[in-house]
Amino acid sequence: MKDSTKIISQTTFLNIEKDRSTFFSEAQYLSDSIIASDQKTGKKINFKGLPIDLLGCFIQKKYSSKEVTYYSDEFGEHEYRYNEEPKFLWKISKESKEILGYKTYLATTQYAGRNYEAYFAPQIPVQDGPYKFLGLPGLILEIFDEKKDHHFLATGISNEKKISIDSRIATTKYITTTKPKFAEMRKNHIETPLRRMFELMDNTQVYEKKDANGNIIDIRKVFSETQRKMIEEYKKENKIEL
Amino acid sequence: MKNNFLIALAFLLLGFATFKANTIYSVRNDKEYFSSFKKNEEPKDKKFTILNKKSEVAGENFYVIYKENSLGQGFYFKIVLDKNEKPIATYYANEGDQQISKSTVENLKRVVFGPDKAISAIEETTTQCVTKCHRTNGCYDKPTSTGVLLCSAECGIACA
Repeated sequence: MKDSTKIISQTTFLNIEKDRSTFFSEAQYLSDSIIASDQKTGKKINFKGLPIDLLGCFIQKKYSSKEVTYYSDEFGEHEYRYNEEPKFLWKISKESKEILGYKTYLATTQYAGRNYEAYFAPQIPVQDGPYKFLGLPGLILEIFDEKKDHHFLATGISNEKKISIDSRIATTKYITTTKPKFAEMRKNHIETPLRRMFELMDNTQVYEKKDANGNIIDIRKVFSETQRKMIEEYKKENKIEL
Repeated sequence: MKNNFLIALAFLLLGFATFKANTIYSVRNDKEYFSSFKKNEEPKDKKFTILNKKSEVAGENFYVIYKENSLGQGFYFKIVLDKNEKPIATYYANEGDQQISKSTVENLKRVVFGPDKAISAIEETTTQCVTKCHRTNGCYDKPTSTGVLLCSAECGIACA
């Protein structure tokens, strides 16, 4: 959120495999688990109570080509994927500190409108890190931008794959696009996120429905209020890439 | 409380039933079983220690998962939710005799409620509520435009 008085944290995972890695939020995994559990027991799903994801995407990196693939996870009707080969120009310094028992060194770079400070561990010879960050001679254990709008800190390392989002990626149909087209599409989406529903309403001439108690619901009013809240939320969002 | 009542009832009326249940329980590998979140189930003979408590309201449901920290120390993590499915308390229990490290305990305290100094509760968002509802209910896969519309309207009401 674009609100300097609030710090919101969530757990993310970087699953490192032989030839690639996947970065994702635990919130999506938890949401899927809760939904599956409620569906199994026949309980009505409380969508408002599901964990909130701050990322809205999954990131995969291929180590051989240094290609980054962005998978959107925020739209519902269509999700998108695009490839990117970010060129990080790292400046490595001698400044060091210990994180999780590893000696890490400071490096700085710029990406998508922000200046970043990263601490990487040469003892872990994996040129990877959170989100799209890569290319240092050791795993990035901490990275934050100079305004501290975003801060990733490693809180644990496990040799076992605890949770995975691979099946979710494999079973979702993604529309392949480019990063600029995706940015343009998203910009249009957040201006009128329920445009499709308003179009459908006009096409079908269906403006009302009955609720479980037989009361008439004004659908246009429901969509207008929902869209108003969504637009307000989009205005407050604090995206990593400016 | 409900579980206790059921167990007491089973002892009184159906002694053999609890014997059977215990037999099944002893076979289960809790580490494997709780490798993903399980609702309203917890491992046998594990004493949970409180990490955070945000409300004195009685929990409605809870979820338990088994994890290991970077040192390979195993533990169970429990999240208690209120009737609105909001987290109100978290607990952990050591898997074996070995205590998990203090740094892991400190990290666990921040998993759901965030850093102590921060306003850590992530506010619910209409956007994510609507998106998850659309996806779960397959709104966009409905065969007719009216079906899509009414499904989406249901989500709008659910997320209002």
